[in-house]
Amino acid sequence: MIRSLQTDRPLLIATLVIVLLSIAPTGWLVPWTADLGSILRLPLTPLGHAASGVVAYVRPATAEVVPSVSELERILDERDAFRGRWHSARLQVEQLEKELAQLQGAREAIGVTADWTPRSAVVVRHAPGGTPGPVQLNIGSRQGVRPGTVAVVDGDQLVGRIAADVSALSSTLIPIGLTADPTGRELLARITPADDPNVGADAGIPVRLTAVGRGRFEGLVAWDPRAGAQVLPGDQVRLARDPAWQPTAWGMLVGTVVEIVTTDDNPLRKRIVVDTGLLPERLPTVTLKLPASGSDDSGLRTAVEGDDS
Amino acid sequence: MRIGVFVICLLLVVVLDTSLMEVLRIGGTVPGLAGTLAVFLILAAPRRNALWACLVTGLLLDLNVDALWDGRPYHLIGPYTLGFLFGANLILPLRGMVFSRNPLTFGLLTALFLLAVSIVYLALWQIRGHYAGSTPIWGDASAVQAFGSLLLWALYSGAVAVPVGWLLVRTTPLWGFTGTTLR
Repeated sequence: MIRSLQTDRPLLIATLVIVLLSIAPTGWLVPWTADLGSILRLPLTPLGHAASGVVAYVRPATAEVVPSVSELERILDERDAFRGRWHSARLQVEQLEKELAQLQGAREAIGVTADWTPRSAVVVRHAPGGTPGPVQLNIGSRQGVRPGTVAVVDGDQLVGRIAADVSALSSTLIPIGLTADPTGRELLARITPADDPNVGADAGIPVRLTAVGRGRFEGLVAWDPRAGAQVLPGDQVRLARDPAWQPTAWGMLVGTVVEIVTTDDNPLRKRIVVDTGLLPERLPTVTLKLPASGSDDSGLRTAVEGDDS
Repeated sequence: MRIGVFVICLLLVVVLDTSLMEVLRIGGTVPGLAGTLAVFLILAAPRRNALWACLVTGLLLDLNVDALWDGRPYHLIGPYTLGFLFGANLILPLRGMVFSRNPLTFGLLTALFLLAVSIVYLALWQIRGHYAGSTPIWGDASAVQAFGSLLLWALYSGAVAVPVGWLLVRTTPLWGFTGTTLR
């Protein structure tokens, strides 16, 4: 290989530069490679947009038969908006109830106002070869997208959040359950029965979930043998008031419990496996919950810290 | 070799690889077309052009893979770029021994080529997994599991390369290759 490269000096130099780049410190690559990629991909974005539409047409994410694409898009947008607003309103009611009950000291807890605006975004690109990872969306800071903005589908199914370094016309969505994302691999969640209408960020059994890959999480829940099964396969798992996430994500559906495993080393706890049931690469669109300007951004700590550094 | 034709084909292949090939997903495996294009150029283009084309193709693929560092996206330049160069140097000596016009040749050589790419890709990401704050792009999965996924990707891409290679051979007059002929 070296011999073949030696015959072409520019190619040899280019190869050596790339070898150096491939072993360069990550912190040095971060500030400029994302921008370089955005510039080079600029002419590809419209084609990617069209191709995503073809994927959604040929292999839709859901098996539903749709009468009209435009009509369905409108209905889905409306449904997403209203279901999301319902959750948002529910969170507000919960918060107000707390405020009334506690009377004093409740003001610290206000911050769950979750004023937001839904905005549909098209998934225009993902890593080649089916490698799980962040996906690219076709809207950016010009449309109000900010680091940490929450993405959902079906109204309340949490997909992920926007990474730092949002460009003007595109943004990167980090799906939940990505083990290669050290900052977002753990979630604070709550488990609620599948048919329990009392959903929200404060209902159910608390659990700390850790991503294990392939869109799955694992966590330990306390288990009292005398009380019977408190968690069953099929139960819903929703994001609790996890400070690493924006309030607009709290109460959103993370996934469902698919497996409950007894652990020999800890008989008073059971390990649960939660499946998100999501394949972000297959999603044609997601709904971004753009926080209203001036709303609480406490959930952005991790992303913004990284941005400031 | 006509650069314009190459650029158009490359952009088309990258768009297909990063979006449309999702329709062919089987389980967790999505085939790629970039390897087929690279093998076609290795077989048909002059050696120098083929190596440069592989480098550029790999570079563009690298710029389409988002990795995360402290919650911030970045692109690692190298895994695909060096992998494609390594693969090209593996296939180049074989081009005088194979029937390039046979679509099955494309299937076999693409799988072999992408296997070579996978080894470099895996090695570089594995090395970077030891950097502070960096994780391999496959997360918590072991390198063996990652290699298994890449092996399936190479084989599936090889299967897809059979019809795509046949199509590419039909476009040979457009490319303006000089000094080489497909056997």
